[in-house]
Amino acid sequence: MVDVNLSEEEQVEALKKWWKENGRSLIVGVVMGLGAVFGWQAWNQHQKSIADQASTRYEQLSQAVSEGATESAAKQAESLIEDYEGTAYATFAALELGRIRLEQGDVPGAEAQLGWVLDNSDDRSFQQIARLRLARLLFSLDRLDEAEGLLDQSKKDSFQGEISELRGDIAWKRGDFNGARESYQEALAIGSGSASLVQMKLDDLPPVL
Amino acid sequence: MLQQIRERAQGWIAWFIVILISVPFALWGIQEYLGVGSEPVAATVNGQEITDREFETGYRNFRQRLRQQLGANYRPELIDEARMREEVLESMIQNQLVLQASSNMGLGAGDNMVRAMIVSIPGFTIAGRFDQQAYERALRSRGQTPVGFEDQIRRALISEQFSKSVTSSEFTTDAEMERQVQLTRQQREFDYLLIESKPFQEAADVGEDEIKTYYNGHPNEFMAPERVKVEYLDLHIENISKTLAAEEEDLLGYYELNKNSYVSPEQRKASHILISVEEGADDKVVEEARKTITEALSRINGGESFAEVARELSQDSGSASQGGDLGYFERGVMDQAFEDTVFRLNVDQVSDPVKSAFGFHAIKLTGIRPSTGKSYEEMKDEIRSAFLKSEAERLFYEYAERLNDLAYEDPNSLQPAAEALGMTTQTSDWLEHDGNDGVFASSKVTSAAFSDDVLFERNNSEAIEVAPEHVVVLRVVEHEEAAVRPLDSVKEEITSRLKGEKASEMASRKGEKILEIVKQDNTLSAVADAEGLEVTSKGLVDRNQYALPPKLRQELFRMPRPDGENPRFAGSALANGDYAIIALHSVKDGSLDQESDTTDAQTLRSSQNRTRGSTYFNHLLDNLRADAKIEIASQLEAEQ
Repeated sequence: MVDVNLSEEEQVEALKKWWKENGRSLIVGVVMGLGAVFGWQAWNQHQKSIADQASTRYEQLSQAVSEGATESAAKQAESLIEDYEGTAYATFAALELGRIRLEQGDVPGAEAQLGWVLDNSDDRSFQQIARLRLARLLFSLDRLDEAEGLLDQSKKDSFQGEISELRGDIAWKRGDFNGARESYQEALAIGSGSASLVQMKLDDLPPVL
Repeated sequence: MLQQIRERAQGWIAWFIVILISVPFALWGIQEYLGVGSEPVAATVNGQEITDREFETGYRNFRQRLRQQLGANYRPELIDEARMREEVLESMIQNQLVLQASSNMGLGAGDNMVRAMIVSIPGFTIAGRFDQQAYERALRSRGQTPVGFEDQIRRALISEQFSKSVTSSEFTTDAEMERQVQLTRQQREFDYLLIESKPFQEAADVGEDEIKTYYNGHPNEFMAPERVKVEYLDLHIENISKTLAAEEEDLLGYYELNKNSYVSPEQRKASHILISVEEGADDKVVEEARKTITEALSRINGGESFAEVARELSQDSGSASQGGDLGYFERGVMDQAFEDTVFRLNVDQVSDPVKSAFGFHAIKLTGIRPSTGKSYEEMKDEIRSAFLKSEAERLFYEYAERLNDLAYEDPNSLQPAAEALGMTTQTSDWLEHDGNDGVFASSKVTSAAFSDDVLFERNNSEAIEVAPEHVVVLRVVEHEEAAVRPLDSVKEEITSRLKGEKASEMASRKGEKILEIVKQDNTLSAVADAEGLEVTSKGLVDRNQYALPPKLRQELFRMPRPDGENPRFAGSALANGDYAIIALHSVKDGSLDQESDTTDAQTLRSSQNRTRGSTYFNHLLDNLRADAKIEIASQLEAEQ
């Protein structure tokens, strides 16, 4: 942009002219660039401080749970979910609240929490955990079709053994012993957390006719 | 030409080149920030490295923990190193996965949480309160910095939240509890018949070729371990003592040399007053001192107590405050002039001024302990055994050293060493790696016998210290590799095994026939009477009835439920070869109602929650693992 053949004065002149033409946009560019960098940092800082606050609240919730302060734990979980919706801690709190509700005998409340996790968590493992728990809850209420519908939505992953076991339970409950046998055998082949119980369930089925 | 370059340098080509050149400059050193170091890497998890150094530290810590946990049971030689390394790496990879997942989910732990955690660690407290200095000292001793340690705590907190979120929120529905109890606490009522296999053994015929076939098919069952025969020299201090005898003059010499340990000399106790005179002091000072001490003596002779005067005048700061008392001492301890005076005085007598290297003393003898001990004649036996022992020790160490040298100088034979030391070589029985007798019970000896140098090079071993003052040098004279034992020596073993198998087969065949009859009779008793068998009735049993043969119990609880009034029948070959025929009469499901105790139900429920919670979390880890890109360094893989 600077021609070496020009005299010194002409060069200064050219620079001034260039500055007049481009100076404004250069300053704007630099300011925007710096703004982006600092803004990004501030945003990160903000996110981190939200995470730290939510983390502390979750820790308090856990403390209440381990002390057996169920009422207080439930309240804390509710407010955590509300205040920090969209963070992983809201998911954690909802799972915990689901258990608390069930133990309080509030089945619809438990159902609501697990459903919330299923809809709101973007982690596939946590979705799967919520789905399995919800399906088990529905099974215990004899809402077998709904439970099965939930399992049908599940994609194959490491939870498959548990899903097969639950499918076996559903079939057993319906009196479909052959279906149950198939699912239990599948669960044993894939591997489920409670293999010995699945084996007992399998052995307990009436003989094949 | 320059002109041409200058003209061309205006266009887009020039810019392209400038940008091209600037790239390496801009990126120079960036690997420092990205952590793509040149350090050797044990594994990479989603691009995140676990360096060799981190892995080795982790491995070392793991072993240390193991040692602390096992205490006296820690047997490093039993550890399969390669497998343990693999497991440690596996768990480090898993930690890394959890950490990455938590960070992706946006988990965090603020400084307040980290602080609260650190303050609660007992190692950093003094008298029950957190102490900053104790904290920093403890970290330094572990080679850690506060920043590094706090980061470690932060990660631990986050990982714990991550797993807790799954495990602590697990529940068990009433339906699940009911089914669980129904099945696991189920009881079954049954009778059974045993068809024993033993009577069939007589009839079981085992042919030569069957034995051969079995022998050839199962070589691993008949391995004889590797073994060696060794020639050895056994140098033991007791054997040396036996050959020794003591002459009178040796004993006398030994007595004189060690008189101190047999006789304690006379000791005397004295007090003194010192007026010190430095060496080379002029006459005037000496006279002054002599005058002082004489005056002191005259005060004592005039009736004043020696101790009082010593306290007042003595310039020996150590004893002055004790009234001049020096305690008991023997000859050879004090200044010569001083000593001579002390050993000349009578008790309570006070000396005239005595000049020593320190100055002038007035000395009072306050006590005598006569010499005690026994004479040579009285001590003779003791002296003889002590002399022989010390002689034997001296000879042992001399011989041991020569033995080691001679065995090393002529590594192909023990004969020169044996001749030089007047010993005879002995030959051992067959020795295996362990379980040998005598000196060969020591693992030091066997591991020397099986070492490459001794076994393959056929060199003499070094002198092996079996016990204090007991060494062995050995060389291998015969060696047998581990090998399959010859057929003749295992024939009987095989025959009885095959007989057992055949007998149990026959018992099973008979059992199966009886089972068919039983099914038609719908009862065990008819057949039992006909065959002279006994029906065993056990009533209701649960799954934990370990007194029953395992296979019988297993079959019993796998049998379908009885159909109406009729019992269900099944047969099962047992591990000992017998055959059992089971008649299942009824099944009684376990139920929660019979649990009068609610704590039992609660315990069961929380154990169910725990099990299922950790199962779910493990599945979650497996999901993370399946999604991750993990590379394990090749040398570690080779170890696996």
